[in-house]
Amino acid sequence: MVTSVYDGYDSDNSDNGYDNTGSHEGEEATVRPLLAVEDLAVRFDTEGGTVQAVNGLSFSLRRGRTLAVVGESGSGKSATGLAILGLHDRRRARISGRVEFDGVDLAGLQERGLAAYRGSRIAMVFQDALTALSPYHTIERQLTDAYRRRTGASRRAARTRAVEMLARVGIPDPVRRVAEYPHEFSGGMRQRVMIAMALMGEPDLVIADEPTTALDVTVQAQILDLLAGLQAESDLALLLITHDLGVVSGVAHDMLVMYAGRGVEQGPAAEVLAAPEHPYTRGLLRSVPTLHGDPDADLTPIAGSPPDLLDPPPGCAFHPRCDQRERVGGDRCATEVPAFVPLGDPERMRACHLPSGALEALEGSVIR
Amino acid sequence: MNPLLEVSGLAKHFPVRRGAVLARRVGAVKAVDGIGFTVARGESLGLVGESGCGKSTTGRLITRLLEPTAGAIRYDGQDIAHAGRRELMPLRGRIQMVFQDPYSSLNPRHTVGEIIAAPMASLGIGSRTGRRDRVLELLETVGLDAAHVHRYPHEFSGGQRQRIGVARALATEPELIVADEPVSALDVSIQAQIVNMLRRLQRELGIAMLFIAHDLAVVRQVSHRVAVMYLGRIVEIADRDTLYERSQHPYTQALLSAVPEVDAGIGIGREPGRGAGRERIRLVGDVPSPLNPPSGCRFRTRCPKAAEVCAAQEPPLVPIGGADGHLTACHFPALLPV
Repeated sequence: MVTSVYDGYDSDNSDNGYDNTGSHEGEEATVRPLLAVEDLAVRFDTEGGTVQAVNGLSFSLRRGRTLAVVGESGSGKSATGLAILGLHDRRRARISGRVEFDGVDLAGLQERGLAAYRGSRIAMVFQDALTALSPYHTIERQLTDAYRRRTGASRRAARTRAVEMLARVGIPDPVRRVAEYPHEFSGGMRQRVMIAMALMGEPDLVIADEPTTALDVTVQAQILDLLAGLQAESDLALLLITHDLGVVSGVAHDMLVMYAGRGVEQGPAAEVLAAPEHPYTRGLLRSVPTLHGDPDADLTPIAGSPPDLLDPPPGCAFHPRCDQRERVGGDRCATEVPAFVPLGDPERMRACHLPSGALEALEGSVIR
Repeated sequence: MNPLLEVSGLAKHFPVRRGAVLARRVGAVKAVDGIGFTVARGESLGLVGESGCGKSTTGRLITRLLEPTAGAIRYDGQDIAHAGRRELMPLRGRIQMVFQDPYSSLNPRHTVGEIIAAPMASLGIGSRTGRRDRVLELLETVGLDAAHVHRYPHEFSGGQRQRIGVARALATEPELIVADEPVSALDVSIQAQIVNMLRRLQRELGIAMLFIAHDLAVVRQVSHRVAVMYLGRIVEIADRDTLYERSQHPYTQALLSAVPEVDAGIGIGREPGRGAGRERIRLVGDVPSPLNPPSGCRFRTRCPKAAEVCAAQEPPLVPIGGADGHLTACHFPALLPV
């Protein structure tokens, strides 16, 4: 469940640390989120000017939940994931805002401070396991290096743990395979290795950036099942960065939709998918071909192209492609950036000038 | 009527060599290993499968960017499997290709006008002014502004570049277009634009199309018939509705079941990871190496139905009851229980 960061702050004042609002379905959830990102901005200085990759993004994530950050290329979703762990090149990227992880502002830490979190309490899983793993070292070496340095574990103990983790992610014959090199693994197995590597340090938070995009569909299904299973059994917080709404539907509790560096819609995944409140979210949902839609009807694309981040449109960045702007009236969409605010329910947020419920009233659910 | 394209026994084996100077052949990757299908005039055939199944190699064989190891490719009655450069020249305009990557498939040093006119120029079609007029007409056909004819590829977005690639393919008025993953590099909001356009052009201009893709939902939008490939072989082929609704091959069924979809059955408070409603078939393991495919049925190592006979005998691709032209290669074909 995503709570707005403000909820998180309110609760800091109450000592018991438990939710009093009763909105958490009876779970004894600590109200303070594990991760609270506030007003995050990532800017890159390029030859053509400054790119605002992430622009005033706020969200939070609790233990035991999966938040999907959804967007197309250039939406800022990957830049967000990298910024949390301070993985951007500091000479090229300017980062501002707060990234509060378990009470510590990671954005304020230097390299040395961040290193204590990376790969231990916060782990990252990348899209392309072939480039994320070193071709020169055995799986054992790659899984145990950071772990031994951090924990001082013996080689034997670290290997035992690596074998355990490989078994946990479903790699057959882990005792033998731990001695092999990445090229000896298939694409799906390499992705499992990367997940095992993320699990070595018993992380509280895993950031997975398009973890299944490079995989075939039958293998993708296996990896998604694996991630969902691990998340559920170990109370992990999972930040899943993806462009695929089908993936979101299968594994995420909550979702945050990004467009041109900003959050445009957020809420419980089932609610957002069933009744999107932002024209962009609705547009995305309608444009995806499905296996149960009418194959003889045209798809419903979003008009135009994604914005040029060197020169984003004024006002709402989506307005040049939006099919609803006439309903807002005046020039508001082109001049005024809509605020990202709760829609009644504090978990359900949106940035749009349309009145709440306007899309649903138009045609009901978009899911055919 | 004869089909426009008739492929039979088509195979492409890539030799694998070891050793630097005196390389010796140690095996072959059987990328395509004996497939056959037809495409009628004006028909769109979808070719689906996972990476390494041979679908892209098939496309490159048919456009003769590659020469097959065995088999026949009859185009309008003429076998072009081993045709030389000179014999292929007149066919180049009749068969065109659209590529996956709209970034690397357009020459960055040429203007859009030059790119689209290039196939006509190299085949000597039309005069210079005739070609210019045709370029402007094509830009309009694919939904681009004719005023942009002098711009360069980098000035366009990914979706617009793919439109340029389609305009170039249409320039010579081809009878057959081989489109290899034409939308998989595009964002979803743009994918839908290009899928709609390809389908409209295919139907309006009556062009036959071989549409190669891994995305089953996209293929469903553009294909009249669909063939499913696995490790170099076709395992099932049928008309679109039969394939998507009444497939009988366990691999087709598993592929369809693995597609992550925004589930119509989702309800508030559902358990993530358990997508409501649909029965899911989970295959174990990955696709085996085409260097050394399993004996008998190549799918048997991942097949939930595999029995002894599957390791001993390769099931032939044969007609199965029900729809016309529904072929499947399985010892135990069956509909999924509803």
